[in-house]
Amino acid sequence: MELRARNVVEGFLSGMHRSPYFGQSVEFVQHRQYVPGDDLRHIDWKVWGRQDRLYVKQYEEDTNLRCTLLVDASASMAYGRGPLTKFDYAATIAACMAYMSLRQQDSVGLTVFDQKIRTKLPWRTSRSHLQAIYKSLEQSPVTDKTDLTKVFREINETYPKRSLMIVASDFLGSEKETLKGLTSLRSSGHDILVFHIMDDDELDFPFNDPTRFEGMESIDTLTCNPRALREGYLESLQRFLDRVRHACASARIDYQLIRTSRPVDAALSAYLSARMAHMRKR
Amino acid sequence: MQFAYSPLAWGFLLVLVPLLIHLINLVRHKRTPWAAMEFLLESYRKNRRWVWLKQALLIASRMLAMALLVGMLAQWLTDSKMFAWMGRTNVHHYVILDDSASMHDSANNKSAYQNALGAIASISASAKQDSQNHLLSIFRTSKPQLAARIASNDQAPNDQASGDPAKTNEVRADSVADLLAQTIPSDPSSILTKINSTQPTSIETSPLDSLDVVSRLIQSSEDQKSIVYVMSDFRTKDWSNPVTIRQRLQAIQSESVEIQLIDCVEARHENLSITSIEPRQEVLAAGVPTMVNVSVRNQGTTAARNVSVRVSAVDYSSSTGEPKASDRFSGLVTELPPLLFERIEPGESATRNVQVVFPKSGSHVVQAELPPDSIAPDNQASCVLDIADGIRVLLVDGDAGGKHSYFFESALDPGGNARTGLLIQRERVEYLRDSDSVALENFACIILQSIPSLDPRALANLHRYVSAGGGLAIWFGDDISTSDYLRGYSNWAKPIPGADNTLPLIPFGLTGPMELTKQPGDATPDLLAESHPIFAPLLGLSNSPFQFVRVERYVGIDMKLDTGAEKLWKPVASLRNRDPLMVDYPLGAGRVLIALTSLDRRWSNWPQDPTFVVAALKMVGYLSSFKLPETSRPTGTALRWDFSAQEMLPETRLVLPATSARGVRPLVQINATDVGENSLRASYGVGLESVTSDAIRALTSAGIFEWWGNSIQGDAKVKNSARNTPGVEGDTDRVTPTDLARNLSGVKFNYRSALSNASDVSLAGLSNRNMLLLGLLVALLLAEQWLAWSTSYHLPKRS
Repeated sequence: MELRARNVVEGFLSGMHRSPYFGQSVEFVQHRQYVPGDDLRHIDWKVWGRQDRLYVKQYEEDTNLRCTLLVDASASMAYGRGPLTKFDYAATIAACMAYMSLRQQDSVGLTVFDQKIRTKLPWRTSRSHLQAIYKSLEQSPVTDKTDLTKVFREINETYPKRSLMIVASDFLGSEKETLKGLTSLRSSGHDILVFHIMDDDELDFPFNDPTRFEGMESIDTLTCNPRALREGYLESLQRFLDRVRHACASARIDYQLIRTSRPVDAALSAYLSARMAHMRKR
Repeated sequence: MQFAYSPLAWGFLLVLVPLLIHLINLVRHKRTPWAAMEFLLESYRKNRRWVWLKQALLIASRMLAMALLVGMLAQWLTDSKMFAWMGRTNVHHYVILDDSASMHDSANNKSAYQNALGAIASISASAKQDSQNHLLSIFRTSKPQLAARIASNDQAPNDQASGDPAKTNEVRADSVADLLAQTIPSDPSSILTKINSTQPTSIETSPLDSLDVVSRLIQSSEDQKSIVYVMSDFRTKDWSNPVTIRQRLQAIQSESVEIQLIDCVEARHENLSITSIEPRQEVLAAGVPTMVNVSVRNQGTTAARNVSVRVSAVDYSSSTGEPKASDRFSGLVTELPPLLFERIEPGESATRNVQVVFPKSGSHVVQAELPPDSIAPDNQASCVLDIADGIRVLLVDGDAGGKHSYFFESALDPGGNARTGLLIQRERVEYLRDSDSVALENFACIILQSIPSLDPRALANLHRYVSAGGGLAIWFGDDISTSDYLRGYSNWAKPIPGADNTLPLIPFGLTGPMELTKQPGDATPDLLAESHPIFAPLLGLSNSPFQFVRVERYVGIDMKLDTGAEKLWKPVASLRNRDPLMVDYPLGAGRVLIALTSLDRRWSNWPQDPTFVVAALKMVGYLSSFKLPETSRPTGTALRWDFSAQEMLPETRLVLPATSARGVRPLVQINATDVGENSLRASYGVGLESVTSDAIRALTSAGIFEWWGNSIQGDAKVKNSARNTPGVEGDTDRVTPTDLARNLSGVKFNYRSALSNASDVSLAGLSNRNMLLLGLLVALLLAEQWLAWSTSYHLPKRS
């Protein structure tokens, strides 16, 4: 998990080279060669005048950002026919975000849940906290159902201070309760990022042969010709996704639907770029 | 449900394959844990019924497509009107093949019959090019005709033109068909092997009985296209006025029946026929020369010159007692001098005679043979001469001393070197009373002379004898008184009590002796002969041969007496005053010849006239002729041999004519059956059980049929029967297509030559139904593809 998060974030940072929180401190740390995409405000023009090279100045930021990582570890997150299950993907995103945040001296907390909170790590800024996050993510079993209502209520009580909450889940539980919980978190003043993790199979339903589908969070089974139900399934799924997206937009929750087949760095890059652009507008 | 290729019907089990594949796919499903069950179940609930319905329709369409495919391959046959539009239609080809003797007509080594067989092969080959199911039935005209004749126990030789449909009611199509509703396979020659090995018969046939059989088959098979082919040589004798044939064809024709007349002869050919061969005289006795007349008819269009006819005499008296099946005849064959016909004009007949002498009694044969020509069967004819040691004649004389018999005995058996073959036996009148009918039947004829009266029993014996075919001559004389004429002979003119035949022994009453008055200067002979066989040698002369015959007295007849037979008799000779002198009266199968005078010189001097000897011999021959066996009969008539159970054993053997020129003659074992009165009858081709191919083949052959049996003492006895091809079969005159169209007005038919292309056979419009079935299958497969696509069997391309 650590290696995966490091690789993703290092590659990501080398490409992005920018945190939305850089430049907010006054204590200079170092110079770094300019790369396209860096904010022009941070270019050290004196160095350019002497050496005819573009460098940007980096500062030690003193931030008060609190980031809470909420990772769904319900049974449905165990699905995945690719290299990563949905939980693996969600955990990687959470680890990446934790890595980035701790690198920026932000405090990061972690909550792994299914129908109740399985693991809860408080906000910390120390580097050693990252190891605890990795360990928690790696050792979290994926069992049981999803019940976000109860979980979000408990989180509201556990993290009373406003923070950035990053939720990684497939939201395959009670849709109504899920959206209600997200809205309540938002109404408590939290800035919420939603990573809606879905497997390609769930989004495309590419099954051809007669298949017996066995519910991962229920005892329901269905033996059918999947091709005959594909269209109805995709319609129903799309309506669900639209409802979730619409509810998030209504509550000003950043929502991102991510396929597990998409590389994590690309998904994070696209999302964070979009979010940075959004923040600049604000 | 019937199929042209029944074994392929097992292919209908393949309709279960789509269902089995579906079930197997359901059983062989994968197991997948699934998180988004909510949406899957929602889709299932929403689409469950529609998906199930489309799936069921899909499977059903595949099963139906499979069934259609198998049905097409197996060629489903149906007579149902409901399915007629979609099922494969049967086209039934009914071939009526004329196999009469005239179909032997050959040119360039190919007969009309072979042309007909070629036409059948062409029709079969053309039929297979069509996609319909073609059935073939072949009837040779001889078989239904003979079967109908046998079934009706009608032994008349030439009654096939009677056209009585009831005669064929008992004829079963399967027993007379050479092929019956046989599906024409891809290689038609496999089913034509048997018919191609057949030959035309030697009989005269008509298509009537075959048309009756075909008509019944067509009526019993609805909803099929029928094509009736009549393959014949269309001779004028059969088709110049074919009223009955036209009626039969009109009864058959309908919208679904097509009639095709196929002419199997290219052109008319020259032909000579032996129209008859028969002995000239009635008395056939051992050692007595017999003149045999041979008549030849020129059936062609040009005069025939120097026609030589080979004649053979076959003597069976010297045979070894065993049939020789490997030889032409079992008897000894002697070639006689050929008969030469210098010139025979077209359409004319000529007769020559040949003398044969058989020294011993027996059933001997004389055969005549013409040089080869276009029609072979009529070039040969035979007659059987049943030669006896002598012809027995019974003289019954009213005088105990036999004084009235002198002239007859002198005339019929003169003695010395002159042999008449007649054996005279003189008896008194009591003999007639005391003898039974069997004893009387040994006599060829009976001559009564001056019998005053007869016992009723004697009268009944004579009546039975004549009714059975015997000949009776009655002469009068002085021994008969007037009261005998008026009273005694009145019983003769009355029906005999207990007799089957109600006619009397004489057809009129008698009034008694009368004097024939003479008119001075009248040169008319006393005896005026009529045209009658007994005077045949004496007629046609410039002067009357009877000018020296004097008749003084005669017996008058009473025309007023009601005997019931007044109109049956006819005068053979009359007197100068036109009163009858000799009367011929048919009674049953026999004849009564009544001479109304006496041989006594006080009555007539005729016995002293030379004409009397001739007339006496001819009279005996004439009276004997009604019991003579036929010397020959036309081909196609049944074979019988009646004999006494007291003389012969019932086991007999029949040697049939050879089917080929050098072939061994078939030999059939036949046991005679009891027909009552100590008589046995051996028969062949009689009765329904005899309608077999072998029997029909034998009955349709011409030649000599040798019956062989053994007497009680163990001696072999042979009885021959001759069957000759009817002379009319040699008539090569044919109707033209124009005449045929006129003669068959009201009948819609196609006429063509057997040598023309068989593709003229109209089969158009019959293939569309099969195309419709194929179109249905294609439509079904398209529907199946749509259903498959509709149930997402084909995923859309991913963008």
